[in-house]
Amino acid sequence: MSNTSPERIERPRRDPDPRIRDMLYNANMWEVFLQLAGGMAYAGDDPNPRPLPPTTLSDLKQSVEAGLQAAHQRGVRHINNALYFAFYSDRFKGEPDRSIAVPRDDLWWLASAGDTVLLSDRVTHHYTGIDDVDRETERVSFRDPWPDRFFLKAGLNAAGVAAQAVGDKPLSITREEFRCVAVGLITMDTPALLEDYFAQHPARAASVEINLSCGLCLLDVEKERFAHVAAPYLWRALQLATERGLQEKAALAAKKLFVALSVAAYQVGMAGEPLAARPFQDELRRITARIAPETILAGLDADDLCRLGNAAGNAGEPEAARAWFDRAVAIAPDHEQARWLRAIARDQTQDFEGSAVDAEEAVRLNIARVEAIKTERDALDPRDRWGRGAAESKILSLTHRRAEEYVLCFRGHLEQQSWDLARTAAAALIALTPDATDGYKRMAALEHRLGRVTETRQWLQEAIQREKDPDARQALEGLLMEMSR
Amino acid sequence: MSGGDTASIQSPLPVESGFAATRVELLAARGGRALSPEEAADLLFLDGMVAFEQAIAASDGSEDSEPDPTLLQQSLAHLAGAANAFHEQQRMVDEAYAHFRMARGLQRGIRRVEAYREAAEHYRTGLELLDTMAHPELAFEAYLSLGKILYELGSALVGEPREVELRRALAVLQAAEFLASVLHDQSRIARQKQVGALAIGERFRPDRDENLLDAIALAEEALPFFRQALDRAPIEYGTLLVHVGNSWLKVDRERQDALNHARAAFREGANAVDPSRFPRLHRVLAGNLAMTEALIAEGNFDLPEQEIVGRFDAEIQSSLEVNRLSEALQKGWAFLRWAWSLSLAPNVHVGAAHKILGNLYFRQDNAESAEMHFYSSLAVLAAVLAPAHPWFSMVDQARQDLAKFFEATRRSDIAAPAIAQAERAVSLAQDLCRRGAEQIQADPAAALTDFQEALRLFPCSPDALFYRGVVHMQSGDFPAALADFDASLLFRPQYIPALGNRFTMRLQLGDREGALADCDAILDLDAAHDGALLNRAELKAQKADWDGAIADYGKLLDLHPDAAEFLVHRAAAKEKKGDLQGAVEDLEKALAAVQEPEDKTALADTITELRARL
Repeated sequence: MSNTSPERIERPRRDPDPRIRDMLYNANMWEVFLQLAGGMAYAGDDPNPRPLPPTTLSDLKQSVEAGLQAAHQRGVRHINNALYFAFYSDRFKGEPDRSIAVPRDDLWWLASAGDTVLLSDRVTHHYTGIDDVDRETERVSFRDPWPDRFFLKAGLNAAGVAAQAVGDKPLSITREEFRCVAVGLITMDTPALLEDYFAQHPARAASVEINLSCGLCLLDVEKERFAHVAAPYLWRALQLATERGLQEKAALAAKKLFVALSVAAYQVGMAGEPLAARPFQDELRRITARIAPETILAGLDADDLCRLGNAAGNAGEPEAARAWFDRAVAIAPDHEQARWLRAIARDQTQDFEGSAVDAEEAVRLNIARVEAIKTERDALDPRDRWGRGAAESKILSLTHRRAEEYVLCFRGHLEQQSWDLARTAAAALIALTPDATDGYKRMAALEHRLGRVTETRQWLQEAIQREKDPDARQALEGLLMEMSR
Repeated sequence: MSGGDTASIQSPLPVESGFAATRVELLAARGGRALSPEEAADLLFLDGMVAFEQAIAASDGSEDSEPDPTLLQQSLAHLAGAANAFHEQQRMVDEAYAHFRMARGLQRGIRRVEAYREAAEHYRTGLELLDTMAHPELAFEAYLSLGKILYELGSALVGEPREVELRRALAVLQAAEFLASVLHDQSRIARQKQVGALAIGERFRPDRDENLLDAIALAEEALPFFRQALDRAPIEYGTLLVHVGNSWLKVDRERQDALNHARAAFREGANAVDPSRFPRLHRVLAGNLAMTEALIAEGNFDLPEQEIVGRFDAEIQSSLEVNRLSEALQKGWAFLRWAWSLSLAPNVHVGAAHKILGNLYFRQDNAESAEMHFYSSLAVLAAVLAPAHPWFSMVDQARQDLAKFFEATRRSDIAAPAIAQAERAVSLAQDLCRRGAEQIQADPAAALTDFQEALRLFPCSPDALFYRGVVHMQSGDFPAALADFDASLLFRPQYIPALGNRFTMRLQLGDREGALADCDAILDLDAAHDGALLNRAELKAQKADWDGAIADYGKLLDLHPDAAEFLVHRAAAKEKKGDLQGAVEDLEKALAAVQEPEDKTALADTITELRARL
């Protein structure tokens, strides 16, 4: 057995934090419910068991991460510092910007109860959940929806693996068997997992690829709070790649380090302690002294630029945000997010004409994107629930964004006194979200500007009827009463 | 000596020394020639450092020892001179270093808020001068120390100013985290996490429990390093375990588990810290361990009082930030009710809650309520806080709040008499209530006058409201009595006598559902309350809720197994329900329990009659 002999044979346990335990419990409960409801259909039982489109570890990670973020937005208790990581064995070709390739022996150290693991005997590829990793007996057990037909049972796989139930635990395999069939895993933890991984596997700290992937994956989550954590990995990747003459990797590291440092500087600066951003700014200066700023900027794509603009906007620097979005729109005029974000920045800087133009364009692109996703969704294999779910989730998110874009259209037109266009935007908002108050309130605001009291009152009444928040309703009622005087 | 000297500043790791030797070397190297301006500046710096070392050496070396103040001042003066000289010579790194050393002197020596603020400014000045990535070790230590100062300043504050300072601390610590990661140094990473855990654990917003659990998680990440470095950093290790334990004590979920985690942390610390070297730290750990064990043994899983106060404050602020004033008012009232529920009331929290409500009603343009609460805040705080109390400044603040309120409502002319009255109101009202209560039977009219006067002085007195309600109840003015019990319960909803009296009033006024709710409330507080059980059973029987009535009579019989009265009542309910056999069984038990012959006869007759219907 190949053994890296790490000082500690497993990553730090998560169970002292009741939040992680709860999330794992919830994940397990879903599986129980699924089983009680008759279980998920086994793909091989389908009348037409064609292979489904492959789902990569990174896609799956992105999907569960999106679920986590959506849960946070719904107010589910969460761990600020938690995120999903995807690790895969470096024997396979992965996506280094979204998952971290590690030597296959390291997967044993990383594996933990509650993780999703991708197993393969090179014929069958299968995602399942880890029930437990017993470090004493060196067995890993699985929480699989189809335990009776689990492909790692003896005779059902080409790898010679013989999964068996030991004691009261579900089906399990040995560490050596796991080494043979584990392709990768998805796990939830804090960035401290990476620190611990490097502490226990010091040789990996010299790897350009692993450092680069760690930095890129932390950036991939698109949470600004991780930018300053991503930066040191990218910084190390840049140093190592430069030393070794790996120009392509060095360029990628430099570009992403620029993004991470800039976002971190904006984010840290928000706390009102300007000096806190200093190390990030100092390092930015050092990078731009080595690589011409225009070279770095030219390498950034519209997503990077949007991210920078967004960070600047959140930090209360709308002019800087606008400059980033200008660049984004210049290189990708059909980038809906860039148009939408620039509309916000233009609105914040009182450029209502520009804001309305961008918002109208964002709406057009949004509608086109939704239609395209619907077409793709309808073309999916009917059994591809994951693919359909991901498409629905994108459509929902884009629809929410379109409502915000209509609001920006409305504001822009209203401030320019383009009353008809403002009315059209408010009407579109009402049509899109008829149960929300936003459109009705805007109609009321428009009629109020036009001095039409009766119409204003009517729209206010409509808004009041739909307002669920007592304070907001009280405020609207106050307005209505004021108008009645 | 220069910015290249990267020895740690206030590091738990070995403290640098040898400045005196360096000074001797510098002077020896001069070889009789006059000092160059650069050498003179270096010498000034070294004089400052030597004086600092001497100031530390002059202390007794215990945990609480402070450096010799005279030597410390000398050190600061030399370092300030050195910083000026470095500035003129454009030696920016050295100038930054001199500022860091001044900051450290202030931080280490003079434990006052002003000194801490001055130290923070020196760190900021030094950091402004530094290319932090060219000198990451030096910058790291400065950021870490600045973060610690901001954390200490923040944790001494309350409300939003506390959050602002702690947010700054955490931002500064993010800079330190970045530098530690770039340096790839485990000890620095662990030390940064240690201070980060302290700062996050002090935050109440945006979500207290999440902050506490984040703090614990961060501390747990740092602890392995400190366990290994116990001999080098015993204070940091012990302090971190105190923090982990205290954080678990404040987590408001799965309290029993939380207390067990707290106990484990305190125990680990108490076992690891040497009491002969660090008696104070060991005392804290051992004391907290004993307290936690006692709480577990008692089954007392309540949150600490100050923790609850902080949570109310943070929740109210959160509601206000999103303009949810009615929600904030609800939380303000919940805070007031909680404060009145404590065994000693009124207390400082009652005063604080009134102040919050005063501000909220003022925002709502409800001047009448705002005035009542600002006035009550001063009244309560003046009554419960003696001048020697550390929070006595709250009285002055409440006085100012009331004065400002009158000024804002253009009634400054009545501010002074109102303030004077408020400051004596609670004790006078309490005296009046005591006197009124004594004469409530003999002279209800005089008692009523006392209670009216008590309420004029302190309109938010649940006692005076309760007593006045009793007088009204006795005189047959039920609506007035009900209004007073309602008002009293608004402040103290868990006061069983007021709930009992309101039950009676509601019943008298025909509000059976309300009366039933009062019974429920009493039984929530005291499940074995005979009166409430009996009343509820009867009310349920009147509503033909036979199962409910039978259940309540059953509970009464559990408490009084031979009470014939309850057996007879239950039998009646069972009969109505159609359970004749059950009714007969209850009546037979009652028959065995009663003594009077006529009771026996009556019961026997009823049993015969029921049997005939079986």
